[in-house]
Amino acid sequence: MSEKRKNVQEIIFYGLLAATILIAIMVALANQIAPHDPLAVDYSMILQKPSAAYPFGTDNMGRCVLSRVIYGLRSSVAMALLITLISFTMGTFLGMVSGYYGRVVDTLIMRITDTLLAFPGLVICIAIVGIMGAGWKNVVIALAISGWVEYARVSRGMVLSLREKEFIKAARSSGCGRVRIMIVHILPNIFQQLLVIATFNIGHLILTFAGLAILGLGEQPPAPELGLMLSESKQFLQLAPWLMVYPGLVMFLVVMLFSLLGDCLRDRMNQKTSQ
Amino acid sequence: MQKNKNKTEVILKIEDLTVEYFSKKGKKRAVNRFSLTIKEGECVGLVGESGCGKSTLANAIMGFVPFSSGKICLKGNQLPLKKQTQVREHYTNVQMIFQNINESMNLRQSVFDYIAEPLRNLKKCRGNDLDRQVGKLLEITGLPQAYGGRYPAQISGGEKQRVVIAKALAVQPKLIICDEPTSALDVSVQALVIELLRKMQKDQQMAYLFISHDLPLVSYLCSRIVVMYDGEVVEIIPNVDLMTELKHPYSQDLLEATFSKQSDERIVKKQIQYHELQSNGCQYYPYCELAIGICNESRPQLKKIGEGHEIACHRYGGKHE
Repeated sequence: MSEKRKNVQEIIFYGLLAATILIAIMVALANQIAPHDPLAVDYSMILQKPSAAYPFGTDNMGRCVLSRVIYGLRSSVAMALLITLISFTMGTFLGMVSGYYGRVVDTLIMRITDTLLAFPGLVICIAIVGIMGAGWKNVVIALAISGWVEYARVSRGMVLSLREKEFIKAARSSGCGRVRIMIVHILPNIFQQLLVIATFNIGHLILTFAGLAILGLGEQPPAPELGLMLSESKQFLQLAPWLMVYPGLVMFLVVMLFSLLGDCLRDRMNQKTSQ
Repeated sequence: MQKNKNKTEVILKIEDLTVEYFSKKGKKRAVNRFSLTIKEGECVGLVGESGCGKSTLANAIMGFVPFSSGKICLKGNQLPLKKQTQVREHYTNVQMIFQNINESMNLRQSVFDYIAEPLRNLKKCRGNDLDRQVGKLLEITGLPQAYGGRYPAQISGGEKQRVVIAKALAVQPKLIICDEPTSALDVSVQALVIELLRKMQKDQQMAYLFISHDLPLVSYLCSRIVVMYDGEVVEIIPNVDLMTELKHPYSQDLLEATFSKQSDERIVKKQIQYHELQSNGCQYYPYCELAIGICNESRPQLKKIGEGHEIACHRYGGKHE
């Protein structure tokens, strides 16, 4: 690859990284940044167009759309990170154990993943949330239960190819036990690939979370939530398009940001290994 | 190099070892009734073509593959290893240098950590002592001290192989198994690595089991040579000086193969067919130009035909000579 193109790629990567950090700071400091209380109702300011005081306008109850978008993004991103963390840890652990120990353990874990894969993800969510009741905690549980499967599958596959490599034999002959081989020799070699999947998944989870809210299974009104905002703004689409445009646009940008970041991470990784 | 007379202690004793692989097509015997004894400080060369079970044998000695029958005994330690203490003891006695240099190091582990690992785990070496020992190993193998902080991607193939050798030497094992340690290196680097191995053997009185398909290389480094074909020993010579005395038709083919291109091609052709054969006779019968009637009927046993010279061929050492 030419030097110039490589530099451009570097710039794009750091740009995306900066944007991600910016969003992280923004949602972390939501209290300071948001111009209004996202729940404050003001009937004198119903369906106002975007203005200096309300940069994204107001909704049918006079609430500030910008503030609601910021708070909504905070809950979406936090939720996506939490679910990713849980399913990443659980999936990687189970996948590594499955691949390295093999035999009965492997069969057991893989049949569980097969069972989970036999259902569409959303169906599991609806079932679990339907049984346990709506609310963000139950959504986290539901999405984590269906989310770990992918990490387990991928890490198992990588472990299967790694465990036959000579450096694992070398580690065994250095007196390493199974736990040490998994933590020191296998995990660092599969971590990056899993991180790429995690990055893609964060964007995907934000969408799923919004989708569940639209179905009435996630956050409940009046909580500021991007999916909920989209669903509530349907009836005002012609009268006040900003109600739908801004939350939709923000969600689109954030999801795309994570996808691009995942792409960049993968490219960088390929470059490193092919050097 | 050849001071291994009779009195020295036996390190490795393999008796009637059979290793089988199971696949969809059925059983494949990779190693069949293999026996070998290695004494302290002795350098044994194991030659044979690819797929004849050399690497499987090495892996079995290291305890990486289970075997179906026979005995492997290393310094009184009988395989398979059961207890953790036994495993540790085993690996302080035997280490292995691997064939594929690019796979024998963890890409995310520094050279220092790689060499230090056996010292940490097997010798419980820590802190300054560890630094000193690793430093010494780098020095012995001719690597700069600064290499300790490097990663496998930052060093060349020859250097990697030296790092692997340093690791194998770390616990000062009694036996080192070299599984074609030079096959992935180019010729100039090969010479360096071989010289290093030879020096180590002289200085530290270690025993080697040197696996290769390269007869001249083996003869340079080893005293005793074992020729293996399809999982079995076909000939043993006690001394490299007797290399021209190699009598088994397969050994002769192997000897020729290193000199002429023509017979090399012949061996390649044989290789292609050889898994499909099942017979009671000599495994080499279908390719043997000197075959006689009995070769297809009964399998030849190892017979002594000279001082330490053993051969498994119906044409030698018996009534059919």
